[in-house]
Amino acid sequence: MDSSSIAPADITSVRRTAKSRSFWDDAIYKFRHNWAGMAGLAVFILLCLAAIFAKQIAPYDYLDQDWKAILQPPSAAHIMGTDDLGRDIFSRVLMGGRTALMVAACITLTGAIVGLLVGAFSAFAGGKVDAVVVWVIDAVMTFPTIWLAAFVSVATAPTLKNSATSLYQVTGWDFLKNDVMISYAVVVFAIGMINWTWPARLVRSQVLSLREREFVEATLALGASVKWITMKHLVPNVLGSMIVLVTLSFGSAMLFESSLSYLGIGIRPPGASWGAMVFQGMSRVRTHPHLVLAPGITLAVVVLALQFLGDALNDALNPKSQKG
Amino acid sequence: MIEPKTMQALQPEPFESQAARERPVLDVRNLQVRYPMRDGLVTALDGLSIKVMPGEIVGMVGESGCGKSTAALSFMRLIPRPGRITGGEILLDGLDILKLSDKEMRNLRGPSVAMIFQDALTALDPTMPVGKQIAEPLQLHKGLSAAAARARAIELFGHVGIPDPERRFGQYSHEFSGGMRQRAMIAVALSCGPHLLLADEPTTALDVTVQRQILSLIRQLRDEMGAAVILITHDVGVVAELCARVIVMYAGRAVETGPTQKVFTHPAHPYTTGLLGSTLELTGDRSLPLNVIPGLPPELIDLSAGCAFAPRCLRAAGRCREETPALETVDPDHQVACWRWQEA
Amino acid sequence: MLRYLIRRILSMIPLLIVVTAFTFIVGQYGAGDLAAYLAGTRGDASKGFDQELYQKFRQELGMDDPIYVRYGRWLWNAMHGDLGRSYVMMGDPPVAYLIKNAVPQSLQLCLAALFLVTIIGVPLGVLAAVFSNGLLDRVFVSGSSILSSIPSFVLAPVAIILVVVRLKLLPSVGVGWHGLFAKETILPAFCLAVVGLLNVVRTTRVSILEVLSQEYVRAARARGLSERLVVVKHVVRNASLPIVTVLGMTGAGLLGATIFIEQVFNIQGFGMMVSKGLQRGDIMTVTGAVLVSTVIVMLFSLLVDLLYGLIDPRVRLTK
Repeated sequence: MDSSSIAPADITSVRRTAKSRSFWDDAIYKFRHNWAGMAGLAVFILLCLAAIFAKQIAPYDYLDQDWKAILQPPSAAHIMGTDDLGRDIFSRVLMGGRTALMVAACITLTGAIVGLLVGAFSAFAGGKVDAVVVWVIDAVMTFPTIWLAAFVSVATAPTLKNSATSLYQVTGWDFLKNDVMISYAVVVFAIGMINWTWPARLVRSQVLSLREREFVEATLALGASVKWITMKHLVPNVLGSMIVLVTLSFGSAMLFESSLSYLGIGIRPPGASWGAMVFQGMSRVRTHPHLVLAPGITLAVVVLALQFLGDALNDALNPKSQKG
Repeated sequence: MIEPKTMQALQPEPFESQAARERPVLDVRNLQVRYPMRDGLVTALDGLSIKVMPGEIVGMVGESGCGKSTAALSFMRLIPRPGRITGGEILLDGLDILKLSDKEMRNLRGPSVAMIFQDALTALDPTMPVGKQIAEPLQLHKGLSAAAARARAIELFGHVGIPDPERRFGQYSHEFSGGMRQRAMIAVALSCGPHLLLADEPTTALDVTVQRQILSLIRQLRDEMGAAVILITHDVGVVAELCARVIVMYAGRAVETGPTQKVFTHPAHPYTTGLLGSTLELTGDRSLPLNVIPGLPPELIDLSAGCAFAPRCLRAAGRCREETPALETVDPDHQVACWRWQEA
Repeated sequence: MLRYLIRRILSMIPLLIVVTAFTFIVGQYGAGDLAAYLAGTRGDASKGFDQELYQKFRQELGMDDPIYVRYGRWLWNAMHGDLGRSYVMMGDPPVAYLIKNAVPQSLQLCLAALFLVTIIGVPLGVLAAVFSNGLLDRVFVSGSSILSSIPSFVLAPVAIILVVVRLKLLPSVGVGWHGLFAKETILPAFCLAVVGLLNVVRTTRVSILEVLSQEYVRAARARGLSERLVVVKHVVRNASLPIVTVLGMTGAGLLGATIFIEQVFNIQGFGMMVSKGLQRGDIMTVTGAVLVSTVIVMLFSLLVDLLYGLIDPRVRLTK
């Protein structure tokens, strides 16, 4: 009754093996079949193209004021109408797209990097250090986030402005004098201050759970170094969640920026920002709704697209968190 | 020493006649269970036939995914959607349960057939006191008042060996230790005195010393109640110790059935041989390589004809790959589903 | 139970201190020299920069003390109801007075919104779970997704245009707060509710699906309970835990969103006060507002903890 030493001839042809797919193949397949996600991706690509080629596509210069045609509703000449200074809204929306994209990208990037570093460091350090970091993260997240961003923005604006001025005196770089640029910096800094918490949390929990998991111990037992483990095991596992997080983070960064601009403390005019445009149009919302609707609906569509994209990526990359 | 009152509560409905006593508690014929999945149709059970007599302890062994748990769930008609019982008959106490309405089936769950789940921690509602979960079916099926049900539940606690039952009644599942939780689960299953007890891996989540206690408890209760027990496990040692009969499952079918003694000493099916051969002995020679059955169990999607074990079988020949083996008789109560069992 | 609550309160106090300290310190540094501002604006402009006046203001504001002393003083005063004065608004009103007038309206608005989000979001989530992966499920989830993704300051004007101007369903909402049960409150409360809708629907749906797939639900069915009994006796209690949590978090989050809604609907509430304060650089008001809102958020959180403890025995029984 000893069956150990024999191997039948057709051991490899186990009847009916399902086509084996790698994790990434599976993910791409799922994503391609998620129409909402594909639509979101399409919109996002459209946005990027519009942002890059804004100057070429725009029929008018976004700063051009045509005093003969103020507050015009949408028409053939001006697809989205004109604002109270005679500026073409469509062109401004395009430029606003550029703003939105750039700012969101900067914020998301810094947030992700800072979050990654903090999260990984905290998880590896463990013990008291970890406890403190977790506590800080929770503290930051207790704030109503808009308020925190707004507050930091207002509080740090003068300081940043002063440092920019002094830096300008040292270097003579023109852009440091540009108020609009400074407001960009303020916004990125303020939102960045709160945006890093989600990636940090995510990375930390992933590192912690992976550290515990048996396969890490097993690999360590096989003599692998910590660095190798990080590269080969931690990174691919975290990557999926990070991608989703970055996508959703992008959308929320956009929302933040437009919220701050709407409150009047974000990107200052004449810089074009959808949020600021909505703010400016609010006083005339009943008589000239297009002032608010054009940038507002564009913003809503983009944020929605990013949301769908993020959800689709989540479904594709995190099968365990499937909704049902 | 069992109190007469408890004895009364635990007794299954007395058998109406001699015929009833000789009738199988469970008679399953050609049971087929399928799950339509996105990639195809999964056949979890493919023509399973079992007979269990009152008072028997029958073991169902096999690897993970061979269909043992599915079988147990189908005996209670608890297959989760989208799975469905697509063929065969299940006679519980002579009653064809596949023809019953939902309400009628519900009335059987508890008094006729009950299940002991694998992991007591997840099988008990964490927000409800454990005692109440025993009282629940008593109130539902036997119409007991809350107070009477509580009293009975406390008796049951004592009977399965949980100390300080009065206090334990109101406690929650996380306040019990692993072994005690499993005893509580057994008490839940027993509460209405079922004729058939389905124990799904009752000891897998426990450590060895506790395992023995639970197993002997199951045996003791069977002795007292006369219920039949189907013990589902992947541990052949447990089966050898407790079960008079064994059913070996593979890929959704019973490939060998018979008295444990016979099947384990003279296995007729190559899979059984492999299964037994791969068991480790404490006193064996540790320098020998581990016995394994090479290969993997098949995907149960879109099964076609032919023996499911053929790809891993050393005796496999042409016929094995083309025709699904039928059950053949080795001895009066020993059957095997293999075309070439005689070549052992 | 009481011990559990006390533990929670104690753990929140350091958080409160850190948050307010941060706000205070950043605010004080960022706002520039308040004394200088006052000296410049209150004094006689023709006399140039009045150094004496400047020193006087510095004294009054205690600006020569180190920052932590000032924070301590501010916090101490705050506990006695004195949050300083708003030097930006006419007449230097005490911040506490401003807040006291603004908070009740906003709280009512938030409660109305929370009520709406509960009676709309939870049933939608339950239905989505029951019909999971079916058409209704997808419709409800995408619908909430779309609504919630629209920034509130876009949704609100759109809603006004649609409902008031075009459809004339509700009266003109030009004029601020009319009370909790006024018709004018429906639209702002609804716009505010939408902000948290998606989260509630999603969490409810996931929670119910999760509980339905638990072994103890199957075990309950195995005991012969009907679907209805299973739901009532086992599902509801277990599923409500995450739902209560998310409702609590939503309630707290709604307070933050008032900053937009109130501006659109011209409601002179807490959010409006903060937004104006930010625009005008009114540091004292904003700092005081942050303290108050943090306290409110913590109270909400405590309430959630309380409910949690009542529902889930594991929470109150384990150390």
